[in-house]
Amino acid sequence: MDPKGVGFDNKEEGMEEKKGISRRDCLKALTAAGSATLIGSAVDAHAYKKFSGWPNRCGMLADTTECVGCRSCEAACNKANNLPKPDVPFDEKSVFEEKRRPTASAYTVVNRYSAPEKPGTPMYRKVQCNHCNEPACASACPVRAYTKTPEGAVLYNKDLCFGCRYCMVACPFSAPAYDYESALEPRIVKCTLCYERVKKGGIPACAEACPVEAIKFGKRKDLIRLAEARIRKYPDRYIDRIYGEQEVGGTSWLYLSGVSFDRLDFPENLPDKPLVEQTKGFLSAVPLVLVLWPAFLGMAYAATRNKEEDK
Amino acid sequence: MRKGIPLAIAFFVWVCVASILPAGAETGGAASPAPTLTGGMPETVTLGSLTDRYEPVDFDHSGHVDMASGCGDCHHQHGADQLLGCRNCHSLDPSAFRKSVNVETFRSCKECHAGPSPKPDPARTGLAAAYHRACFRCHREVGSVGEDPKGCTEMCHERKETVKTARDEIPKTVPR
Repeated sequence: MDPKGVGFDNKEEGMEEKKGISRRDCLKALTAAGSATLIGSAVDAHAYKKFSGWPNRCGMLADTTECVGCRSCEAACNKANNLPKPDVPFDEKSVFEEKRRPTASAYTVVNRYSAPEKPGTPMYRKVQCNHCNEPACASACPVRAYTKTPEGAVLYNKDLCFGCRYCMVACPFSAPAYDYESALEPRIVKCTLCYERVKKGGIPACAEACPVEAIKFGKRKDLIRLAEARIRKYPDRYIDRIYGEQEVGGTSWLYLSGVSFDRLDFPENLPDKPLVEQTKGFLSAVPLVLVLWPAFLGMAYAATRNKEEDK
Repeated sequence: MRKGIPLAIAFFVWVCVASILPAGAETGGAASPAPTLTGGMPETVTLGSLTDRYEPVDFDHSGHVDMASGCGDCHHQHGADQLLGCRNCHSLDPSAFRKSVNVETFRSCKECHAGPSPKPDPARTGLAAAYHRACFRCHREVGSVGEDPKGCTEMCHERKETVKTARDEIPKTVPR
């Protein structure tokens, strides 16, 4: 910034009139600038419009107590998304020997957990993108390749992506996977909540394929009511909690369980506030700092220079 | 007293089967003859209304009657989830309560649990899930169901050869 701009010329004249207190003025100005920066960031963090999500957004309710680990959802997802054939067939149980996460060729995976209190009836957890109400992946993306749709799905646009993979770091559920096959065409892959099928009036492929309806598709608010009703009706079967109702501001996928969620490897260290809010204060201060600090440092420079010229 | 329960279950299952069989025939499943009645109870029941990928299930009814502690184990009208009032099926005369089951008022499973639909009601369990949940109440702890994805075909279902699904195209052997 050029200190000899029009605005600064006026200020220089003003400062020349009160040479004796130019240092004090300068300190005052700097203090004011500091306070303005702090207040500015605090105000901005609260100034954004409170948005509690699209009213009719859809979601999925996964009942981990019903899942029998048949992997029908994995097979249906593979077929619906035209994904490549897996190395191990879908009716093979050897995949349960290790904990898997979604990959470029499998948008969803089912993991098995032992239940010592009930030998012979292991527990299962289906893992995929949870389609957060306020997705951290979207806020981390520098090129806005992610969109939260009114239907509830968090969609990814590969045409905008340049492969930084910030979204993979930002996601608290390790959902986005990276397609390492093509180095020149970066591509993140993850569950789309079968957006195209839902737009056509259908339901996601995994929910359709589940033989016990352990996965139900519907309006998120209806699913929460349904889950609450189930917990009330079968208090011995479920713990009194719906995972995903509050976590990181709420997710489209909701889960019921009979055991504490950490036993099924659900992250338990997540705040109820959206992760976006953790960074909002800092990020909104950046423009203020970038504009205000050069201005006041420029003033300080101008004041000091005048004093030197006087000597 | 005990004799009345199998009689009641027999009528109920017979109504279920009567409503299921025609649908099974439509979908290409093997249409079985009407169940043989032994003491008013079918020995086997063919569940074949939902057979797009699998062959119909030949359900050994009499075998299950021997094993179950009561009809309510499977027929949830008599279980904890009772939906219908007693009068819907039984005569009001207490002396003839169990003997006077009115078959006409028995409801088949699919009256409440709808078959496959493009947009199922999340609050109501579908027909296939209702069957499966009833089976898994016991079979999760017996046999390999719930332990091995192959359990479904080992225990009840034969996979249909004619229908090509994503699963069928997948190699059957695990690469080393």
